Amino acid sequence: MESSENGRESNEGISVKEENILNFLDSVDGYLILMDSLSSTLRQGWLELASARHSMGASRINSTLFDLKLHPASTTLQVNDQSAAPDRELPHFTLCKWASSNNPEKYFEEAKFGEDELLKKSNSLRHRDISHNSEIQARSPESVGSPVTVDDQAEKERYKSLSMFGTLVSPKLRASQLSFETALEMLVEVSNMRASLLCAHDQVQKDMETATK
Amino acid sequence: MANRVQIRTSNSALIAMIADEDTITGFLLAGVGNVDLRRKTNYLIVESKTTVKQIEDAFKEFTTREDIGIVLISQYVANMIRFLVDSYNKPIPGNFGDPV
Repeated sequence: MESSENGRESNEGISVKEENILNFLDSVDGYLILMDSLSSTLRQGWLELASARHSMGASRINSTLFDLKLHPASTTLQVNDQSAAPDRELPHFTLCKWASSNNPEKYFEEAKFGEDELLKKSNSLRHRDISHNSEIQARSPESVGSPVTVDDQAEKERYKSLSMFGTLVSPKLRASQLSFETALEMLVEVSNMRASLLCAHDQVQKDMETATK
Repeated sequence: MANRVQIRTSNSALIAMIADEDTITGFLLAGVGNVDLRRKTNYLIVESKTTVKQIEDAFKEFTTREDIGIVLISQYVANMIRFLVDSYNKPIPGNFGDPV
Protein backbone atom coordinates (compact mmCIF):
# COMPACT_ATOMS: atom_id res chain seq x y z
CA MET A 1 0.00 0.00 0.00
CA GLU A 2 2.78 2.35 0.95
CA SER A 3 4.68 1.77 -2.24
CA SER A 4 1.57 2.49 -4.38
CA GLU A 5 0.91 5.70 -2.42
CA ASN A 6 4.51 6.75 -2.90
CA GLY A 7 4.18 5.90 -6.59
CA ARG A 8 1.04 8.05 -6.85
CA GLU A 9 2.74 10.94 -5.07
CA SER A 10 5.81 10.72 -7.29
CA ASN A 11 3.55 10.63 -10.38
CA GLU A 12 1.76 13.77 -9.18
CA GLY A 13 5.14 15.38 -8.42
CA ILE A 14 6.40 14.55 -11.91
CA SER A 15 3.29 15.96 -13.55
CA VAL A 16 3.67 19.23 -11.63
CA LYS A 17 7.26 19.50 -12.80
CA GLU A 18 6.28 18.70 -16.35
CA GLU A 19 3.55 21.29 -16.09
CA ASN A 20 6.12 23.87 -15.00
CA ILE A 21 8.35 22.93 -17.93
CA LEU A 22 5.42 23.20 -20.31
CA ASN A 23 4.52 26.60 -18.87
CA PHE A 24 8.10 27.72 -19.38
CA LEU A 25 8.17 26.47 -22.97
CA ASP A 26 4.81 28.10 -23.68
CA SER A 27 6.10 31.39 -22.28
CA VAL A 28 9.25 31.16 -24.43
CA ASP A 29 7.13 30.40 -27.50
CA GLY A 30 4.77 33.31 -26.81
CA TYR A 31 7.71 35.63 -26.15
CA LEU A 32 9.48 34.71 -29.40
CA ILE A 33 6.31 35.14 -31.44
CA LEU A 34 5.68 38.55 -29.88
CA MET A 35 9.28 39.65 -30.48
CA ASP A 36 9.01 38.60 -34.11
CA SER A 37 5.78 40.60 -34.55
CA LEU A 38 7.35 43.55 -32.79
CA SER A 39 10.37 43.38 -35.07
CA SER A 40 8.27 43.50 -38.23
CA THR A 41 6.04 46.29 -36.85
CA LEU A 42 9.08 48.39 -35.96
CA ARG A 43 10.56 47.81 -39.41
CA GLN A 44 7.32 48.98 -40.96
CA GLY A 45 7.33 52.08 -38.78
CA TRP A 46 10.91 52.93 -39.69
CA LEU A 47 10.21 52.52 -43.39
CA GLU A 48 7.14 54.74 -43.19
CA LEU A 49 9.12 57.33 -41.26
CA ALA A 50 11.86 57.24 -43.88
CA SER A 51 9.22 57.69 -46.62
CA ALA A 52 7.73 60.64 -44.76
CA ARG A 53 11.18 62.18 -44.37
CA HIS A 54 11.80 61.67 -48.08
CA SER A 55 8.55 63.42 -49.07
CA MET A 56 8.60 66.20 -46.47
CA GLY A 57 12.33 66.80 -46.38
CA ALA A 58 14.93 65.94 -43.74
CA SER A 59 14.72 69.43 -42.21
CA ARG A 60 11.04 68.91 -41.37
CA ILE A 61 11.47 65.61 -39.55
CA ASN A 62 14.40 65.66 -37.18
CA SER A 63 15.15 65.80 -33.47
CA THR A 64 15.63 69.60 -33.41
CA LEU A 65 11.87 69.94 -33.79
CA PHE A 66 11.04 67.89 -30.70
CA ASP A 67 8.87 69.68 -28.18
CA LEU A 68 11.09 70.53 -25.22
CA LYS A 69 8.50 72.66 -23.46
CA LEU A 70 6.93 71.35 -20.28
CA HIS A 71 4.38 68.70 -21.20
CA PRO A 72 3.23 65.37 -19.77
CA ALA A 73 3.26 62.13 -21.72
CA SER A 74 -0.05 61.30 -23.40
CA THR A 75 0.68 57.59 -23.37
CA THR A 76 1.67 56.11 -20.04
CA LEU A 77 1.77 52.84 -18.16
CA GLN A 78 -0.21 51.58 -15.23
CA VAL A 79 1.92 49.32 -13.05
CA ASN A 80 -0.03 46.89 -10.89
CA ASP A 81 -0.14 47.78 -7.23
CA GLN A 82 1.48 44.82 -5.46
CA SER A 83 -0.02 45.72 -2.07
CA ALA A 84 -3.49 45.32 -3.56
CA ALA A 85 -2.70 41.77 -4.67
CA PRO A 86 -0.04 40.39 -2.37
CA ASP A 87 -0.10 36.95 -3.94
CA ARG A 88 0.96 38.52 -7.23
CA GLU A 89 4.72 38.62 -7.45
CA LEU A 90 4.99 39.61 -11.09
CA PRO A 91 4.85 43.26 -12.13
CA HIS A 92 2.06 43.81 -14.64
CA PHE A 93 1.97 46.71 -17.07
CA THR A 94 -1.11 48.16 -18.72
CA LEU A 95 -0.82 50.72 -21.48
CA CYS A 96 -2.91 53.88 -21.25
CA LYS A 97 -2.94 55.41 -24.72
CA TRP A 98 -3.68 59.04 -25.35
CA ALA A 99 -4.61 59.80 -21.76
CA SER A 100 -6.93 62.76 -21.28
CA SER A 101 -5.42 66.02 -20.11
CA ASN A 102 -8.70 66.94 -18.33
CA ASN A 103 -6.96 67.43 -15.03
CA PRO A 104 -3.70 69.19 -15.80
CA GLU A 105 -3.76 70.79 -12.32
CA LYS A 106 -3.03 67.37 -10.83
CA TYR A 107 0.07 67.06 -13.00
CA PHE A 108 1.30 70.44 -11.86
CA GLU A 109 0.59 69.61 -8.22
CA GLU A 110 2.73 66.52 -8.42
CA ALA A 111 5.52 68.42 -10.12
CA LYS A 112 5.31 71.28 -7.61
CA PHE A 113 7.02 69.19 -4.97
CA GLY A 114 10.21 69.28 -7.00
CA GLU A 115 9.56 72.78 -8.18
CA ASP A 116 9.96 74.35 -4.73
CA GLU A 117 13.67 73.68 -4.72
CA LEU A 118 14.09 75.26 -8.12
CA LEU A 119 12.01 78.30 -7.20
CA LYS A 120 14.66 79.44 -4.76
CA LYS A 121 17.24 79.38 -7.51
CA SER A 122 15.32 81.10 -10.27
CA ASN A 123 12.30 83.41 -9.73
CA SER A 124 11.87 84.08 -13.39
CA LEU A 125 11.20 80.41 -14.04
CA ARG A 126 8.42 80.49 -11.40
CA HIS A 127 6.70 83.49 -12.95
CA ARG A 128 6.74 81.82 -16.34
CA ASP A 129 5.28 78.59 -14.93
CA ILE A 130 2.54 80.36 -12.97
CA SER A 131 1.38 82.23 -16.04
CA HIS A 132 1.43 78.99 -18.04
CA ASN A 133 -0.51 77.23 -15.24
CA SER A 134 -3.18 79.96 -15.12
CA GLU A 135 -3.63 79.68 -18.88
CA ILE A 136 -4.21 75.96 -18.56
CA GLN A 137 -6.66 76.48 -15.65
CA ALA A 138 -8.63 79.02 -17.70
CA ARG A 139 -8.90 76.52 -20.57
CA SER A 140 -9.72 73.40 -18.54
CA PRO A 141 -13.33 74.27 -17.47
CA GLU A 142 -14.29 74.62 -21.12
CA SER A 143 -12.79 71.28 -22.10
CA VAL A 144 -14.41 69.42 -19.17
CA GLY A 145 -17.84 70.84 -19.99
CA SER A 146 -17.83 69.99 -23.71
CA PRO A 147 -18.89 66.52 -24.85
CA VAL A 148 -15.75 64.92 -26.31
CA THR A 149 -15.91 61.37 -27.57
CA VAL A 150 -13.10 58.91 -26.93
CA ASP A 151 -12.11 58.84 -30.59
CA ASP A 152 -12.05 62.64 -30.74
CA GLN A 153 -9.81 62.72 -27.69
CA ALA A 154 -7.40 60.20 -29.18
CA GLU A 155 -7.39 62.03 -32.51
CA LYS A 156 -6.77 65.33 -30.73
CA GLU A 157 -3.78 63.87 -28.89
CA ARG A 158 -2.48 62.23 -32.07
CA TYR A 159 -2.71 65.57 -33.86
CA LYS A 160 -0.80 67.24 -31.04
CA SER A 161 2.03 64.74 -31.43
CA LEU A 162 2.12 65.20 -35.19
CA SER A 163 1.96 68.97 -34.94
CA MET A 164 5.58 69.25 -33.80
CA PHE A 165 6.45 68.48 -37.42
CA GLY A 166 4.07 71.06 -38.85
CA THR A 167 0.39 71.42 -39.68
CA LEU A 168 0.41 69.61 -43.01
CA VAL A 169 2.22 66.31 -42.73
CA SER A 170 2.69 63.42 -45.09
CA PRO A 171 0.22 60.51 -44.83
CA LYS A 172 3.29 58.32 -44.36
CA LEU A 173 4.04 60.13 -41.11
CA ARG A 174 0.52 59.38 -39.88
CA ALA A 175 0.97 55.75 -40.91
CA SER A 176 4.29 55.66 -39.05
CA GLN A 177 2.54 57.04 -35.97
CA LEU A 178 0.01 54.21 -36.08
CA SER A 179 2.77 51.62 -36.56
CA PHE A 180 4.65 52.87 -33.53
CA GLU A 181 1.42 52.91 -31.52
CA THR A 182 0.95 49.25 -32.40
CA ALA A 183 4.60 48.59 -31.53
CA LEU A 184 4.00 50.22 -28.15
CA GLU A 185 1.11 47.90 -27.40
CA MET A 186 3.27 44.94 -28.35
CA LEU A 187 6.09 46.20 -26.15
CA VAL A 188 3.83 46.19 -23.13
CA GLU A 189 2.68 42.66 -23.97
CA VAL A 190 6.32 41.63 -24.35
CA SER A 191 7.11 43.13 -20.93
CA ASN A 192 4.33 41.14 -19.30
CA MET A 193 5.27 37.97 -21.20
CA ARG A 194 8.92 38.39 -20.21
CA ALA A 195 7.96 38.71 -16.57
CA SER A 196 5.94 35.46 -16.68
CA LEU A 197 8.75 33.77 -18.65
CA LEU A 198 11.32 34.67 -16.00
CA CYS A 199 8.96 33.45 -13.29
CA ALA A 200 8.42 30.13 -15.11
CA HIS A 201 12.20 29.80 -15.59
CA ASP A 202 12.79 30.32 -11.87
CA GLN A 203 10.19 27.66 -11.10
CA VAL A 204 11.82 25.14 -13.43
CA GLN A 205 15.22 25.86 -11.91
CA LYS A 206 13.84 25.28 -8.41
CA ASP A 207 12.37 21.97 -9.55
CA MET A 208 15.73 20.92 -10.99
CA GLU A 209 17.52 21.84 -7.79
CA THR A 210 15.08 19.82 -5.67
CA ALA A 211 15.42 16.88 -8.07
CA THR A 212 19.22 16.85 -7.77
CA LYS A 213 19.12 16.96 -3.94
CA MET B 1 -8.86 49.94 -23.64
CA ALA B 2 -9.44 51.74 -26.94
CA ASN B 3 -13.08 52.45 -26.01
CA ARG B 4 -12.47 54.15 -22.67
CA VAL B 5 -11.25 57.66 -22.01
CA GLN B 6 -7.95 57.31 -20.21
CA ILE B 7 -7.52 59.62 -17.26
CA ARG B 8 -4.00 60.16 -16.01
CA THR B 9 -3.71 58.95 -12.42
CA SER B 10 -1.09 59.35 -9.75
CA ASN B 11 0.28 55.81 -10.24
CA SER B 12 0.96 56.27 -13.93
CA ALA B 13 4.46 55.43 -15.07
CA LEU B 14 6.43 56.56 -18.06
CA ILE B 15 8.29 54.67 -20.76
CA ALA B 16 11.90 55.80 -21.04
CA MET B 17 13.93 55.30 -24.23
CA ILE B 18 17.60 55.15 -25.10
CA ALA B 19 17.74 54.68 -28.85
CA ASP B 20 18.54 56.20 -32.25
CA GLU B 21 16.74 59.27 -33.56
CA ASP B 22 14.24 57.40 -35.75
CA THR B 23 13.10 55.10 -32.96
CA ILE B 24 12.72 58.01 -30.55
CA THR B 25 10.83 60.02 -33.20
CA GLY B 26 8.44 57.15 -33.78
CA PHE B 27 7.67 56.62 -30.11
CA LEU B 28 7.30 60.34 -29.51
CA LEU B 29 4.68 60.32 -32.25
CA ALA B 30 2.97 57.58 -30.25
CA GLY B 31 2.76 60.00 -27.31
CA VAL B 32 5.34 58.71 -24.82
CA GLY B 33 7.44 61.89 -24.69
CA ASN B 34 7.50 63.67 -21.33
CA VAL B 35 9.26 66.89 -20.32
CA ASP B 36 9.22 67.89 -16.67
CA LEU B 37 9.73 71.23 -14.98
CA ARG B 38 13.49 70.82 -15.05
CA ARG B 39 13.32 70.34 -18.82
CA LYS B 40 14.35 66.73 -18.31
CA THR B 41 13.07 64.28 -20.87
CA ASN B 42 12.35 60.59 -20.59
CA TYR B 43 14.51 59.76 -23.59
CA LEU B 44 18.09 59.95 -24.82
CA ILE B 45 18.87 60.14 -28.53
CA VAL B 46 22.03 58.16 -29.26
CA GLU B 47 24.05 59.62 -32.11
CA SER B 48 27.57 59.13 -33.35
CA LYS B 49 28.85 61.78 -30.95
CA THR B 50 27.06 60.35 -27.90
CA THR B 51 29.59 58.95 -25.45
CA VAL B 52 29.32 55.68 -23.56
CA LYS B 53 29.36 57.64 -20.30
CA GLN B 54 26.30 59.64 -21.38
CA ILE B 55 24.47 56.42 -22.17
CA GLU B 56 25.48 54.89 -18.85
CA ASP B 57 24.35 57.99 -16.96
CA ALA B 58 21.02 58.00 -18.76
CA PHE B 59 20.49 54.29 -18.02
CA LYS B 60 21.30 54.78 -14.35
CA GLU B 61 19.03 57.80 -14.15
CA PHE B 62 16.08 56.09 -15.82
CA THR B 63 16.40 52.95 -13.73
CA THR B 64 16.41 54.94 -10.49
CA ARG B 65 13.55 57.29 -11.32
CA GLU B 66 10.34 56.29 -9.60
CA ASP B 67 8.08 57.58 -12.34
CA ILE B 68 9.49 55.26 -15.02
CA GLY B 69 7.98 51.80 -15.55
CA ILE B 70 9.84 50.51 -18.61
CA VAL B 71 13.21 51.44 -20.09
CA LEU B 72 13.43 50.69 -23.80
CA ILE B 73 16.96 50.43 -25.17
CA SER B 74 18.13 49.59 -28.67
CA GLN B 75 20.10 46.39 -29.02
CA TYR B 76 23.27 48.05 -30.32
CA VAL B 77 23.10 50.65 -27.54
CA ALA B 78 22.62 47.94 -24.95
CA ASN B 79 25.73 46.21 -26.30
CA MET B 80 27.70 49.39 -25.55
CA ILE B 81 26.72 49.21 -21.89
CA ARG B 82 26.28 45.43 -21.69
CA PHE B 83 27.84 45.10 -18.25
CA LEU B 84 25.51 47.68 -16.76
CA VAL B 85 22.41 46.21 -18.40
CA ASP B 86 23.21 42.64 -17.38
CA SER B 87 23.88 43.64 -13.80
CA TYR B 88 20.46 45.27 -13.49
CA ASN B 89 18.06 42.79 -11.96
CA LYS B 90 15.11 44.74 -10.56
CA PRO B 91 11.64 44.04 -11.94
CA ILE B 92 10.63 47.70 -12.20
CA PRO B 93 11.47 49.53 -14.26
CA GLY B 94 11.60 46.59 -16.63
CA ASN B 95 14.03 46.90 -19.48
CA PHE B 96 14.64 45.10 -22.67
CA GLY B 97 16.15 45.79 -26.03
CA ASP B 98 14.67 46.38 -29.46
CA PRO B 99 14.78 43.20 -31.47
CA VAL B 100 16.52 44.96 -34.36
